[in-house]
Amino acid sequence: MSSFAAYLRLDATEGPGLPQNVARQLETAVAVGLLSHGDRLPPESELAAELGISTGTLRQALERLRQRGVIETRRGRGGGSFVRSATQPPPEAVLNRLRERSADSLRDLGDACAAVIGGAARLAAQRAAGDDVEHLRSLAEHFRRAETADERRRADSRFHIEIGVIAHSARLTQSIVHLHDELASLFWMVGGEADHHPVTESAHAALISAIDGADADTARDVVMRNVEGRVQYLLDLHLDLAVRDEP
Amino acid sequence: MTDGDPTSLRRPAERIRERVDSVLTDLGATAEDVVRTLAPAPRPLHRADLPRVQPALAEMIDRHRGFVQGVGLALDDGHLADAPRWMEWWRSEDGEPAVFVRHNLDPAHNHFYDYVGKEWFALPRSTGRPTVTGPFVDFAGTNEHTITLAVPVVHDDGFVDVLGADVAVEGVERLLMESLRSRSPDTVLLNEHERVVASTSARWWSGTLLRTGEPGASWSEAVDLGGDLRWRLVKARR
Repeated sequence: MSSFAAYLRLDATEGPGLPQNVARQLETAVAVGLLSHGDRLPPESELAAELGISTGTLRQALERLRQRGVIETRRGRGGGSFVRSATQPPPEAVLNRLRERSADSLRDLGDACAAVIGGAARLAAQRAAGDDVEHLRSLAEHFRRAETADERRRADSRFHIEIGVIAHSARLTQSIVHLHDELASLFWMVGGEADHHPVTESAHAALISAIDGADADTARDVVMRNVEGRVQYLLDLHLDLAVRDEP
Repeated sequence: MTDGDPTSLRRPAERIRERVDSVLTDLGATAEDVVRTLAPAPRPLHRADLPRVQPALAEMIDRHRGFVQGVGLALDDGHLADAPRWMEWWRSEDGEPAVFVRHNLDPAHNHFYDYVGKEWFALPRSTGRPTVTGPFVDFAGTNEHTITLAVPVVHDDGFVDVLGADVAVEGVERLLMESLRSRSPDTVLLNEHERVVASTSARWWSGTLLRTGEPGASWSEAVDLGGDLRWRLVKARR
């Protein structure tokens, strides 16, 4: 199975909504960096089989993605469907999104992230073996070297997805893909990411050492506190924006 | 509680109260309308009698667009001859025309909406008073973090239905901001359980409980909203 397909959350009941669902999942895979610029998608028949859908449904999904500029298709030898460089919305658009959504929904998103990723971290600390911790270290290193907000967002998402992988839980991994992407798309894209970088680096390091030491409670606490800090930051910013907007 | 300007929260508290009261007053008038509309229908009532009340529900939604998302009549146990329970509930999103909301009323189902035991139904029914309940996650209902404003509908046949209006917590957040009219950090709206309904501070999150002894949980000012609202507006000491 190709590395990204396992993380997609598909309710593969054929129906009118399925192509949209598949397209949305593939787009999330690009957004969180499971698929990156220039990657070639597996041949249609292979990918359809991995996702458990018909090639007709997959073709409709790919057509949507082509229209949205997420992939491009090249013909001939060496051809196929390729991921185009993701166009991130400008910071003003993200700030606008943050102003528009309710404090209640941010808190709710944070709670879900803290519980799901925190729970996965607890299991990861109990289940890590072999080169699991090494993988996590190299993903943290990847984050350290990231230079743009978008690179940090993707590297940070990839790091957190690995927690679900180490926990050996397909469902938790899928949930982390979606929850973390939603939070990270706000957190890393509203500006101020240079300040977030060191805090995140030390949170990554604390989690790695907890997992390395099989300290399940600390692993969970580290993740939950880190998520809480992010929500606090976003809520502050949201309230600032919302209040400034009042007459 | 006495330091600071003792009047600074009074006006905002009044504004919140006025907004909520305007919905409760309208619900009261609509309840009377429902009683009058259903009075001529032969008893026992049937589901086929209920379309008569729909115009009153739709009007109620129209009058409170932007704040109230749904309005409906929840029927008393045994009030209908052809269904043990029924919710005649209507909802409108983003200015769209109201649509009927089907609730699952089958006790064997996972999504069974057991409204008779819920506070928003049970309280006005037993006390005969308008009530504001929440915030709560209205599973199998709105499925959102919601507050419900509700009044009893007392019929001559002895049954008491409940007429309710759903407001998303998001709507209460907007109401709080609008009622403050200026930047007022650390202002928290609490319900009767010391649960945060909405706040202007990132320190207090909607849905969480305040615990006494928590740093910052001493208020420079606190105003009860009064009336049928068991809510308080408080301002944290900086």
